[in-house]
Amino acid sequence: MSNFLQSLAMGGYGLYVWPAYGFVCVYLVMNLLGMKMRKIRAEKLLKKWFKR
Amino acid sequence: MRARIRHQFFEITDMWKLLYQLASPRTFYHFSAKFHKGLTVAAAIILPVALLWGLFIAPPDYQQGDAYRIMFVHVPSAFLSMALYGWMSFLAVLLQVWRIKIAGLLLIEAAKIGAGMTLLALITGSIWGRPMWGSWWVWDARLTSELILLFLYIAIISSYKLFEHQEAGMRMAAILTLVGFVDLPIIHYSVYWWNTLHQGASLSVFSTPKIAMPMLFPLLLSILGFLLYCFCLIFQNARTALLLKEKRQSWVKALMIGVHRE
Repeated sequence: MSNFLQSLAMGGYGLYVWPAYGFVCVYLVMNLLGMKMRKIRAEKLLKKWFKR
Repeated sequence: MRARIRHQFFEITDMWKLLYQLASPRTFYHFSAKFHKGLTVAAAIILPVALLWGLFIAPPDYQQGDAYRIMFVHVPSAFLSMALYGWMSFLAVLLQVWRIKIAGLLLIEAAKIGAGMTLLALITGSIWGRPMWGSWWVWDARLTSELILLFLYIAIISSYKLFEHQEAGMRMAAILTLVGFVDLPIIHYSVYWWNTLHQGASLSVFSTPKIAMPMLFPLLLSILGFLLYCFCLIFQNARTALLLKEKRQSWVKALMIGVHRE
């Protein structure tokens, strides 16, 4: 357990390393979700357009 | 010799032929579908492996300890912020000189991702700077020129959105991209031209890397992962935008409702 906590602490720099990776991961995932949502929205819109 | 020159000439003309074929929205849409899946799979494997390698496997730095691990996300995002801008400038030339509309579409999508990468580079750099320099931000030449790059990206996206007519917006964005290109060499050489807190480049095409091998591999892998991820997003977003733009065309209708009337 203490080994795990030590690796999380990153030699006292965990406070900086984890938020940096956190920001990046959140951005990468948000972008992927945005891409998927955009595609679904566009397809719905186009299907509606062609049904008119 | 003559045969070789002839062969090279045909290779060049084939390349131009391919470029012109890709300029057609329909060809671009179907062609990009072929390598988009490959890009997605490669990015989905390489990026997590690179980040986990950088976080847990790469050894700590003898001076910076574990704080240097921020490098595995900071360097790729900073590299992409500049590389994407360089690619956008090429697209801007294609749009302005040959009026290739796909280039305009890709330029706008690349600008959106490039702005995100620049923001990530600034945020992660700021977080790294706090324990190393004792400050979140300094008006250092490298940091300031990177901040200007973010403003350029914002200006390009805004100028595109300001115009009611999409193509006029794209052309304006292309002009701004070409004007802003001057910032790229400033960012790159800022650490040599001025006395900066930011360190010089650890990686260079023309010299041996100043970074130890166990750190270099995950870094290169991370750069590759970010690159694949960005192109995967740009191409998919451009394909979606293309469908909406070309909705009056029969090939879009065929794709959407399976009716082909050509």
